[in-house]
Amino acid sequence: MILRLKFTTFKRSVVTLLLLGLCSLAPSAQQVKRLVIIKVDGLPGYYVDQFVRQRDRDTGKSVLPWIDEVFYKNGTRIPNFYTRGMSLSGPSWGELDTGQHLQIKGNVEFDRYTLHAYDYLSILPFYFGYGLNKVVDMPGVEVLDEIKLPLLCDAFTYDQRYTSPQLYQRGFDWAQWGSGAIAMFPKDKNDLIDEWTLGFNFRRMTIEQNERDIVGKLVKRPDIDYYDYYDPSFDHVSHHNNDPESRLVALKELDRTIGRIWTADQQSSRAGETAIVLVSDHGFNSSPKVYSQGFNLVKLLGSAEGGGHHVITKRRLLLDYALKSMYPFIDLIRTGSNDSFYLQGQAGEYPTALVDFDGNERSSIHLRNADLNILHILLQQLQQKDVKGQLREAAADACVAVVERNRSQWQQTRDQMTEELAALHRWIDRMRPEIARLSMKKTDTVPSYVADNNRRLREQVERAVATEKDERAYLATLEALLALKRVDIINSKFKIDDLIAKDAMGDENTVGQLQDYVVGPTPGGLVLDATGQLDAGKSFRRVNYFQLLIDQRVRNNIQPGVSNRPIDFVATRVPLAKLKGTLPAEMMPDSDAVWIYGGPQKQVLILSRSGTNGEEEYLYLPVENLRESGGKLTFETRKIGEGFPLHYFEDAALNVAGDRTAWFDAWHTETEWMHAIHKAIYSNGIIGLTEQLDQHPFGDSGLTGDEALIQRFRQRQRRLTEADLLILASDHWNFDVRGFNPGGNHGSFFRASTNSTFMIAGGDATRIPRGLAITEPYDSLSFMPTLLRLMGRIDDHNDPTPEMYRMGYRRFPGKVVSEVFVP
Amino acid sequence: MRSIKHRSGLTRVGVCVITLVFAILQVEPIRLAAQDVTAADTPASTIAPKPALDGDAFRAETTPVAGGAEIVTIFSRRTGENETDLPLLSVLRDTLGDDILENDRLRYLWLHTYTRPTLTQKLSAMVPFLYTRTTNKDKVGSKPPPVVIDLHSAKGGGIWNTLFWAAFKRVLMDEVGFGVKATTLQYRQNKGDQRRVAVAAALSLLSVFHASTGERVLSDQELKDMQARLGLTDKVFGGHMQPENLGRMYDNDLAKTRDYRGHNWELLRQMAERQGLIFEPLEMPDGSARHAVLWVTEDDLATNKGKDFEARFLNIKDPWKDDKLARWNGYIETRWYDADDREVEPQTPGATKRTLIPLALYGLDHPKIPVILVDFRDNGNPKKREMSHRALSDVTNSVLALSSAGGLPYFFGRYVYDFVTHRRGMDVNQSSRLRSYAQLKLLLSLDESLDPEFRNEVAHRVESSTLNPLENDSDVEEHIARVQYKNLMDYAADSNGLPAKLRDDRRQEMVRFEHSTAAKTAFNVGHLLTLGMWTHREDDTPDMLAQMDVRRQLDYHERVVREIALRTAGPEIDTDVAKLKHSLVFLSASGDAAANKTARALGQIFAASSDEDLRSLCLAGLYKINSMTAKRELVAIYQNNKVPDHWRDTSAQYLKLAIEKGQRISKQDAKTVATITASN
Repeated sequence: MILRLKFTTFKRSVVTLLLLGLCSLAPSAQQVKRLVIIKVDGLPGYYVDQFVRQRDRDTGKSVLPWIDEVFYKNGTRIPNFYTRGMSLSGPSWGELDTGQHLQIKGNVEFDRYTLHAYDYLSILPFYFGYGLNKVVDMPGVEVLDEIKLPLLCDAFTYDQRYTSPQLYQRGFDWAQWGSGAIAMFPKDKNDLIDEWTLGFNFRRMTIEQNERDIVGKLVKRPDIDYYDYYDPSFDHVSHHNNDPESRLVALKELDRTIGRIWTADQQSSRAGETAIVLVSDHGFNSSPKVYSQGFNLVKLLGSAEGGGHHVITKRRLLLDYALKSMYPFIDLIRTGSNDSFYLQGQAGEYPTALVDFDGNERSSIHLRNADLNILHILLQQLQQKDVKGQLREAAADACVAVVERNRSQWQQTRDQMTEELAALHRWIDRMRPEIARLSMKKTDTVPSYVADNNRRLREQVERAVATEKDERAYLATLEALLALKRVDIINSKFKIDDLIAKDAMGDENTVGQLQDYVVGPTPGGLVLDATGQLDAGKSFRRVNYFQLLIDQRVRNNIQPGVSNRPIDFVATRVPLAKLKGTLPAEMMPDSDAVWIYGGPQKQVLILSRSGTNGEEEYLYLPVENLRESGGKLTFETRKIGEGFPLHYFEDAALNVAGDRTAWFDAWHTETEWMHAIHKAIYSNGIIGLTEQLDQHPFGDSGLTGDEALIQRFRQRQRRLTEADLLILASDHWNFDVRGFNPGGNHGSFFRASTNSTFMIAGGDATRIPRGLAITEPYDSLSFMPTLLRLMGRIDDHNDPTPEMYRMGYRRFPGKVVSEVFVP
Repeated sequence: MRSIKHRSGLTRVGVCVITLVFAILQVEPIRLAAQDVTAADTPASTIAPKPALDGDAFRAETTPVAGGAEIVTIFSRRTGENETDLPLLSVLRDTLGDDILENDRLRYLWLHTYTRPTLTQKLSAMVPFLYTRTTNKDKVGSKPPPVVIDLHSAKGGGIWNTLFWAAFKRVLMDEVGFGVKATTLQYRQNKGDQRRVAVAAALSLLSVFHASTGERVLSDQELKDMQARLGLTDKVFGGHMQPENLGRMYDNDLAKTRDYRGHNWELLRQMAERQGLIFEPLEMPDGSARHAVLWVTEDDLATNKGKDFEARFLNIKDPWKDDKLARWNGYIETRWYDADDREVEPQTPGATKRTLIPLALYGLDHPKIPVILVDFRDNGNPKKREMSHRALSDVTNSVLALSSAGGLPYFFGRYVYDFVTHRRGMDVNQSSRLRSYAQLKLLLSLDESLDPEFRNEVAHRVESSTLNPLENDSDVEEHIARVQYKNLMDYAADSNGLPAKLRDDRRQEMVRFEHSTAAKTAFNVGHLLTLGMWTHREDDTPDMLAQMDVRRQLDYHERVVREIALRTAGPEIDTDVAKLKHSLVFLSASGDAAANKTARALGQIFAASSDEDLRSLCLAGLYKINSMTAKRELVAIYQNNKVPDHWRDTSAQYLKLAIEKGQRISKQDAKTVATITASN
C-alpha cells in the first residue's frame, strides 16, 4: 500500500515535471512579464537610423546614444516596419493598439446620414468633457468600445497599467496634469527666471510628467505590468520645420527619455522580465531642401470649376488667423461657396461636400449623393411657377425616376435601420434603470476606475440616444421620398426640407455618379429632349471629379523635385458586383476592388482574393478608360508599363527577379508583394490602399436577436463614414488648409511616410535577441500579436488565451515578428 | 538662365561657373527623402538651383591684441576688380595670453556698420513724429565702432533698465511739458531701434556665417553662445540667462525662426498662386530664403484686367486695376518658362517668354506674417505699416500721456486692438520689421547673383522706408564699415586703447574675488550715482590674475557639469566622458568656490552614473566645494541605502574630513555627521 502510494506520487511528480518542461518549450518561454511601450508619433524608421549612425563631433558617440545603446546594441529592430493603410495617426494607432484591420480610417470621419463628426484628435474638448463629467474616453476609444474591439492596455487591469494621454486614451488622470504643472516651475529662482525667459513649454507638461512617473514607478511599483508613454513632439516639429537641426533637438529629447526609462528599468527588480518597445504610427515625408506645398481642396470644391460646393471640414481654415478659432468646441466648420449653382446662401442647411485633410498628404472627400442633388434641383425648379406645361410634367417624371431607381436600396435601408434602431432603443431602455443604480462619482467605496466604468456605460447610452434620434431624422426623409407621389410633385405639394435631409450626404456615390456628378442646373435651366422627356445631358451641369482633380496644376513651379501637379492620384472602391462580367475568371477577385485614377490612360485596378492558404493575394491590373454608365462598368486592360499609378514597374527598388512583365501579370500573395515592393517609392501602397478602402467586418458571427441587430448597426455606422474619394498628394504636396505645414507631411503611401519604427529590447529572461536588425518587412498588424505572443497571451495561431478571449480579444490577423522568438 | 535686362555678363558667367562646379561635385546624387528628383521633374534645360552653402562668401581673420586677447573679424569676400573684402563684424576674445581654452572669454562684439550718430542725426532723432532719415554720417572720424553687446555681461534691455525707465517716465516725465517729453521719448526710441537693428544685423550675419562651410575661427559653441546672447537682448531677463541654458536658447530660437520662415514662405506662395502672381524666394549664401519677391507678368495684366484681387497678407494694391502697371517704365525682367511653368534657359525649344514686373519684396523671418519691405509701386506702403505701431505708441505716450498702467479703459482698448490686429495677421501694429530690414541689407551686400540694377532699386527703396534718422544709407555704410574697422584695428594696436580697456575690464572682473555681495552692490550704486564716471576696480597683481585664471576655468567647468547634469540619463552612454572627467578633476582640485547649483549637478551625475571614476570624482568635487549644499548632497548620498556601501562610506569620510577642516555645513548635517562618527 505504502509502495503503491509512493509510486503514484512519483508518477504525479514525473507528469508534473513533464508538463512544466513542455510549458517551458512553448512560445511563452520568453518571459516577458512587463511591457514599457514608448509611442512616438510620426517617427520614421529611416530617419532614426540616419541619426543613430551620425557621430557626435564631441563625444564620438551616436547623436542618439540611447537608441543606439538600448535598441541597436541590446535589442532587436525592424527597419522595414510599415504602416498598413494610410500613414495617419488616427487609423495607424488604432491598428497598432487593437491588432485588427482598420476600422477607423481617418483622423476625422463623418457619418453621411447625420453628419456626426468623429474627431479622433479632439484632445482639448476631451479634457474639458472629462472635467465636466461628460465624457470618459477619447472618441477613438468610444468607437472601438461600440464595436467591441479592446485595446492592448485593456489586457491589463486598472491597477496593473499606467497609460499616458494619447489618441486612444481610456480615462484620464488629473494627477498627471497637476504634477506636471507643478514640475514646470523649477524651485531654484535662477532656473525659474531662465525658464520664464525661454518660455514655459506647456505642450510638454504632461509628456515630461509621464516620463517622471514611469521612471519612478518602474522601480517603486513592481505590481504594474504595462506602461505606455506617448510623445507627439517629433511629429509636431516635423510638420513645421524641415531642417535636421530642429528635428534633432526633438529626437535628442526622446533619446534621453529612452535612456532614463532604460536606466530606471535596469535598476528595478523586474528588469529581467521587462521588454521596452519603441513604436511609431507612421513615417514622415520631408526634405531639408524642400518646403512642402499646400493645395486648397476646399477652395477648389467651392469654386465654379469644382462644383460650387458648400464644404464642411472639422478644422478651421487658416486657424491661426481667425478670431473664431479661439473657441475650440465648434463641431463643424462650414465654408460656403459664392459659386453654388443652386444652393446659394444655404451652407448652413445643405452642405454638399465633406473634406478631411488631416495628415495632409491625402484627403478623403464625401460628396452628397448625386441623385439627391438631382432631386433637390428638380424640386427647386418645380417650386417655380414659370416651370409649367410639358416641362413641369417632364421634371416631375424625372423626380419619380430618381426615386424609382433608388427605391429598393432606400427601402432596404429604411427597413433594416428601423429594425436596428428598435433594437438599440430596447438596449437603451434596458440600460437606463441599471445606470440609475450606479455611482458616477468616486467615493470611499467606489474607486475612480469603477466610477469611470459607470460613467462610460452612461455615456454609451447617451450617445446611443443621440444616434437614434439623428438616424431617425434621416430615415424620415427616406420615408417621405418613398411615399412621394407624382401628382403632389406636379402640384408643388411638398416641402424640400421634408424630402431632402438637411446636413446629410445620403448614400455613397457610385463611380459613374462621380464621373458624371451633377452640381447644378445649366444656365438655361431644364431642357426637354426630342421625345418630350427631360434632357438630363442638357439640363444639368456635371463634373468628372477624377479628371478635375488630376488636372489640377499650379503656376509657381519653383522647387526642384516638386512638380506643378499637386494631386498624384485618386482612389475609390469598386464593388465586387460591378466587376462581374468584366474580367476573365482567373482575374476575378473575391472582394471589392480598388480603382486608382492617374489619368484617362493611367489607371489601375487592385484586385484581391483569399489565397489557397488563406493569405490575401493581389493582382495589379493596369487599365484605361474605366467608366460606369447605367450601372455597367467598362474598361480596357493594358499591358504593364511605366507611368501607371504607384509606379512599381519602373521603380529601381522593386525586388523582382527576372521578367517584371510576367511578374505583374500574375497574382501574388501579400508576403510576395511585400518582399517585392516595400523598398519602392510607394512601398506597401497596394496593400495599404486595399486595407484603407476595403470593408473589414467585425464582431462575432453567432450573435442573435438584438445583439446581432446592434452589431449590424455598428457595421453600418462604420460603412457610413467611408468617403467617396481618397485623394493622394504628389511628392512634397499637402492639402492642409488649417494652416501651413512646410516642414513635411504624411498620410500618403510613399515609403518616407509609411516606414515607421518598431524596436524592442528586454532583460535576460525575455530572451529578446540583442543587436539584431531584422530584414523581413512587417506592418502595423504585426505589432500587437508579437507583444502578446512574447507575453504568452496568444497561441501559435494568434488565437487569444481563454482569459484574453473573455476580455473580447479575437484572433489577430497580423504576422508575428518570428525573428524575436528564440527557439 | 534668366535673361535679365542690364544684367552684367560677368555675373552671368559667374553663376554659370558655380552651377557647373556644383554639377560636377554632384557625382553621386543625394537621396532627399523618399523620392529622388526624377529627370521628368527637372528637365535638363531647367535653371539649376544655386549651391545651398557657399563657403567662399566669408573670410575670417584673427588680430592679436596686446595683453592677451585677439579680435576675430568676419569679412564678406569681394571678388570684383579693385575690391577688397568688406569687414562686417568683429568680436574680442580675451585669452589671458595663454593657450588654455577654458579661461577664454568672448567680450565685445562690434558691427562695423553700427556707428555713433552725427549731431544732425541726433537732433533729427529728437523731433517728434519725424519718421524719416535726414542726413548720412559722412565723416566717420577716428573712433572705433560702438560695442553692440558685451557678451560677458549681456544685460540687454534688462529688468532694471525697464523698471528705471518706467519710474522715470512716471515720476519725472509727467511733470515736464509735451515738448521735452515727446523729444526724449522719440530719441530714446530711435536710439533703441538703432541698436536693435545692429543686433538683428549681427544675428543674421552670424547665422549665415554659422551655416556656411567657411573658416572656423570661432568654435561652434562660441557661435551659438553669441547668437543666443544677441537673441536675449530684447528680453526682460535676457541678461540673467545662465550659461548652461544658452544652448537651449539657441535651439529654441533656431527652431522658431525656421518655423516662421517656412510658414511665411508657404503662406506667401499660396497667396501669390491664388492671385495669379509669380513668387520668387531670394536665397542667402547659406541657402536659406529669408526674402521673397512677387512679380506680375505683362500678359497677366492684360488677361486679368478688372479681376477681383484678394490683398490679405499681400498688402499691396490690386494690380489688375492699376493703370500705373499698364504704363510701367520701371524695372522689368524677361524670363522663359517651359510647359510646366518651370523657369528654363532663354530660348529653350518650346519655352514661353514672359516679361515680369516686380510688385513687392517681403521678409520671411517675421512672426505670423511675411512683412512687406518694398512696394515697387508705392514706397510709402511698407513705411506706413511700420509706422502704424510706432505712431500709435508715440501719440498715446507723448501726446495723450496714456499708459497701460494708467487706466483700465485704455488698457483693455489697447489689448483688444493689439490682439485683433495680431491674430488676424494684419500688417499694421505688428512687431517691428527691423530684423527683416537688417537681413535684407545683408542679402543685398552678400548676394552677388542679384542683378545690380534690381539690387540698386531695392536698396534705394529700402532706404526710403526706414523710419530712423540715426540710420545711414547702405552705400554710406560700406564706407563706414571700412573706416570703423581700420579705427578698431588702430584702437587695438594703441596701448592706451583696447589693451588698456581690456586691463580695466579684468580689474573690474576681479572685484568678485575680493568683495562680498553687499560691497559689490555698493560699488554698483556708486557707479550709477556718478553716472558711470567712477568704477571700482582691483589692482591686477599677479596673484589676482592667477585667481582670475582659476575662476574663469571654474566657470567653464561648472557650465560643463551643469549642462551634463541637465541632460544626462547616464553619462557613460550619452556624454563625452573624457570632457566630463576633466571638469570633475578640476572641480575636485579647485572647486572651492563653485556654486550650489554645481553641487546639486554633481549629486545628479553621481546618481546617473555607474562609472567608478566618475562617481569618485563627483564625491571628491562635493567635498571640495565649500558650501552647505555640497555637504547636503554628500549627506543625502550617505543616507541613501540603495547606494552601494563603499560609496556611502566614502561620503562619510569626506563629511568627517569636511568637519575637521571647518568647511561650511548646516547644523542639521553636522549633527548627522556626528552620528556617523559616533556609530563608527
